[in-house]
Amino acid sequence: MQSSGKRVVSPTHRPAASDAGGTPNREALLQACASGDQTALHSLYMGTAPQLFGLAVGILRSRELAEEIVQDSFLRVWRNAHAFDPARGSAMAWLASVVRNRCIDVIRQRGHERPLDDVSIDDWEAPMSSPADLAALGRDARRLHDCLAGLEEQPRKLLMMVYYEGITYQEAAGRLGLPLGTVKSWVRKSLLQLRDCM
Amino acid sequence: MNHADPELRDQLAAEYALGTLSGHERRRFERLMSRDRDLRDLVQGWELRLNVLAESVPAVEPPAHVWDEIALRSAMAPSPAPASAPSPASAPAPVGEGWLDRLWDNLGFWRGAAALAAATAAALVLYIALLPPRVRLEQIAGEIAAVGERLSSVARQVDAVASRPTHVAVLLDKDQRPMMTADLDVADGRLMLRLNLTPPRDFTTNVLQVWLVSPDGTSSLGIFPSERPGTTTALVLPHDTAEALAKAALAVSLEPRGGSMTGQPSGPVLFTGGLMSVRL
Repeated sequence: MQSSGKRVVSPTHRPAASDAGGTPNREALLQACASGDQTALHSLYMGTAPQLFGLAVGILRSRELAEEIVQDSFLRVWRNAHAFDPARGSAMAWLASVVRNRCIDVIRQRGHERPLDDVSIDDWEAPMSSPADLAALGRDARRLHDCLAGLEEQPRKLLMMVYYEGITYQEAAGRLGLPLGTVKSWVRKSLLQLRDCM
Repeated sequence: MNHADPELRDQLAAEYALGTLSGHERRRFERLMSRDRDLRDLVQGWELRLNVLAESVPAVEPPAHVWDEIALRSAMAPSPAPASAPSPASAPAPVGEGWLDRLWDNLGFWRGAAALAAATAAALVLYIALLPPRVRLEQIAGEIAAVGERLSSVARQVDAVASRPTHVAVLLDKDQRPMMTADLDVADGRLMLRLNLTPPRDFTTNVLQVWLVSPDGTSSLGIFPSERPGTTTALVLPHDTAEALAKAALAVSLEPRGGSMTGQPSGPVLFTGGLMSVRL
């Protein structure tokens, strides 16, 4: 029973218990939010807000703005929790989509609070947790990291920069001093490779 | 651009999810998505694929007020049930009381039930102490007149002659401090509010605004006249409003001088409390 059960689990299916062991099951919390359980919203916030806030601060470069966005995002999550489908992806990815979309909307409207410094692609470092934290990543995240490791270094770093900073092709090209065409083709090629890998 | 080309659609969906589109391109793509379900699905697939990267972002602790605001606003706007019929396993909170239960839960009343009971008792004592002498005399007269009658009859007569509140509320802040007490007489629409403590906020440019919060929405009851402790104010509410308030909650927010411009709390909500009947 158990082994046949394992075989039919699709790559994106999240089991009822967390695959990271001791961490709370965010998918179940999100589903509880949909039935109006505010305690679940609180647990979800406690477990995810620091990373979502970190994500928002990185994109917006403003703590105050990031506070507003995280607040607004959790209220959206509360209202729309019923739209979350655990069969399609992880709760964290869903929450991060909400936060990141709001961040990008805001910076497309207002521009970055502080200008982006020029940097060479070789010097840029992705804002990553410690290796110990990475070891505790969920299954989907580990898979993505494995796929990213298969990309060439510069296109991989570019993709990460675009993700973590929420910048446009134009901004990435300007910041890195690379031709716009190169930036676009690196990102598009990386996305295709990721799609095929995942 | 040929938006029917599957490869191009997938590329645009990925670029939208990644966020590389400019503001104009983004809006344009959103217009396409709004009438193309498959495109929305493609985008969501990419969003869920890429956003697991958020798991490896170094955590930054947001300040406590972020959650406080979420807690309060989510309590005021209960999570709507999905449009489809609920599954038998889910047990939605009873309509009409769930929202207030959640408000209590949210503010940690479940942790401080004893403190709440004590505060409510204190509010009742306070109310009796604050009753104008005329009312006290009428109350005593009512009681004297009722001597010899059965106890239930006494209670009815006291209620009849004394204009005493039918409902009270103790408005607590997030640290469970009884910031304001309120008493309401539904029959004559009289709402008495007394500020017990001054919230640690800047009142050079801000004021306290009082709100009625019910499942039907939030409406302003007015600006509180001062932030000084001990300030008491009386409002006379239309009968419908008083009846609604008896089944609802009060909230006080910090607003710019002149009050919120939006008709809804625009600043932080500092303290709240539900009305409770004083009839035993």
